[in-house]
Amino acid sequence: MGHRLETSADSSLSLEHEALFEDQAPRSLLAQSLAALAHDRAAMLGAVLFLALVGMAVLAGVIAPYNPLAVHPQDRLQLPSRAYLLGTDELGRDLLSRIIYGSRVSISVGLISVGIAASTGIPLGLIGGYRGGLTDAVIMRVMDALLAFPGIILALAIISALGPGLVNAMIAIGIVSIPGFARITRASVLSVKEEEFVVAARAIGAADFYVMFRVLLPNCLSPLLVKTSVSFAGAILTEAALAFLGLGVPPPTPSWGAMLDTGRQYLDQTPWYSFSAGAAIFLAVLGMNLLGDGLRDALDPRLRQV
Amino acid sequence: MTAYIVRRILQLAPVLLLVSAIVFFVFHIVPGDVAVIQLGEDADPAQVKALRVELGLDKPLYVQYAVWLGDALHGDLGKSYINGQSVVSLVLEKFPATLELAVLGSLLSLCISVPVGIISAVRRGSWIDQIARAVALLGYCLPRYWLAVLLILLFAVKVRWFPTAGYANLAEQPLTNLRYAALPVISLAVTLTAVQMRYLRAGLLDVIAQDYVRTALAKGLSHRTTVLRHVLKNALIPFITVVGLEFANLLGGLVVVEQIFSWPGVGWLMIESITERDYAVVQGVVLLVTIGFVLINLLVDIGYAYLDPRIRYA
Repeated sequence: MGHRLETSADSSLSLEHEALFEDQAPRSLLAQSLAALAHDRAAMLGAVLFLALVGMAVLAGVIAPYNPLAVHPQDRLQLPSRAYLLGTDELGRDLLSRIIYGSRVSISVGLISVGIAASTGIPLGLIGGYRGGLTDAVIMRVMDALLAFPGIILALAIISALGPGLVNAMIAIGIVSIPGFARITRASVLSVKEEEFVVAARAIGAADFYVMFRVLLPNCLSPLLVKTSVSFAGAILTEAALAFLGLGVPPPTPSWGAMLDTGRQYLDQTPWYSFSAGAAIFLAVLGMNLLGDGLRDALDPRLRQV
Repeated sequence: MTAYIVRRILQLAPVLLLVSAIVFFVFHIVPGDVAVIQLGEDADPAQVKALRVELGLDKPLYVQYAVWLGDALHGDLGKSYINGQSVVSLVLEKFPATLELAVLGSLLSLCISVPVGIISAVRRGSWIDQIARAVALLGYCLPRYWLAVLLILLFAVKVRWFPTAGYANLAEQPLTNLRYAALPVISLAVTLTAVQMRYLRAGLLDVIAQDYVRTALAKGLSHRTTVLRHVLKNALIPFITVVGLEFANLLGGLVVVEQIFSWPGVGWLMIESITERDYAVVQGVVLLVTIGFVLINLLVDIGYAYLDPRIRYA
């Protein structure tokens, strides 16, 4: 009992302490979250891997030792050497340069398919959650139906209908990811919709559009940020799977999934071919997942221990 | 319990109806005319027209959907454009091979994830726990197709313990079948083990923190009895759900693995049919796999409610 009394005395002291310093601006949620993220070593590793991926895609023209399409017939299927750090493929193209340029495909698939999913799923979730009733029921039943498909099966169905290729792969992956964004947005909207600031915004006559996008949306950003990073990883993984099945980027554009597939035929001659392409996919996905895990912990005050 | 099951099945009906509509309409945005695809680009226009009438393609889309849905409900999903075989019989013919990989992969992963997950949770923070968690994270992020290629490289190219790819009938040549199944099963099991272990560990840690566990220890029960009798029983309920859901996910996840190992299952059939533009088969596979996926999910939900009465009344 004595212990409990002490604790309450402590907390009232700390309240007074806070009151004394109320002029001092409190650290924003963003600043607190970033600080928490910076202390998370796994998340930092994820961030480094992600930045490396972006850096590779942006600076491909500068850092790649060769043109990724340049054929060197005399140097076919070379093992790693000083001339070719990861060796060459069946046409004598430099594997390192193709891996570096391949990051552009992965990044663009991640950006565009997650863009499609977020720009469709978030408004649907906002409208469903905010309006409720029949609108909500219709939207969510359609989302449930999309979620009823195993992800890759729906992507394959769309690809087989639209035809193979990079743009169609992006569309397919984007559509598959829409329900995830819609459900998370809707759940967040439901959790804040009855809060006083939302009621206040409606009371002063704010239009529905304003309430949804300017009042509710900013309060749903944390779970959406986590969802975005995890979906980005998923998009890279699915694109590589589609390319691996021969349904992604057509040759000769370098793509990690297609390289992993072609390299399979030369496993006994140059195992580096498949290995390096797979390692690139793995590191990119690992980076995004670590970053996503770290963001989830950092953005959720209950999980934060700073 | 019966009321719960009836409610869940009733909730399923509109979802399945929408699924069928999505499957139907996705395959009706196919660029090009199905009749032309079937007869070839140089076909006689009169023949194409006749086939369009025969296939009902001259009717409005909603009529086509109603006819297709009616046939589907009677177990008729059309015929393959390539060999004329019924789509349902093609899928049923390939299904046992897919089921075999899914079952063996799940069993192997359970043999590893359950003991390691328990040790990891009970000895939280120990070196075993740390290694297990790191391996689980790596296994979780490892693309299955890359893992499959690495397994081929290691066990089929370098040491030649297993064949690179192929299939033998399980009933006729069980041992040869298992030799062919080894690498695909391992590549499935690694990812599954990682997911199962993460969930089991988290579930166990949740239960270990409960008051009744402290009570069990306080009344003098040994650690071993407490873990086996009180902790494990409660942590296993959500774990069984994860195992079931992951099993359902395998229906989709097997597509790539079957392709790599030339394993003639449903996923392999799907990719072959996409390559040959045999849309009737692709459409049938998508519909049947999705129905299978939804039904396994339903069974998991019912099983969960059976094991945990709190779910039924929620």
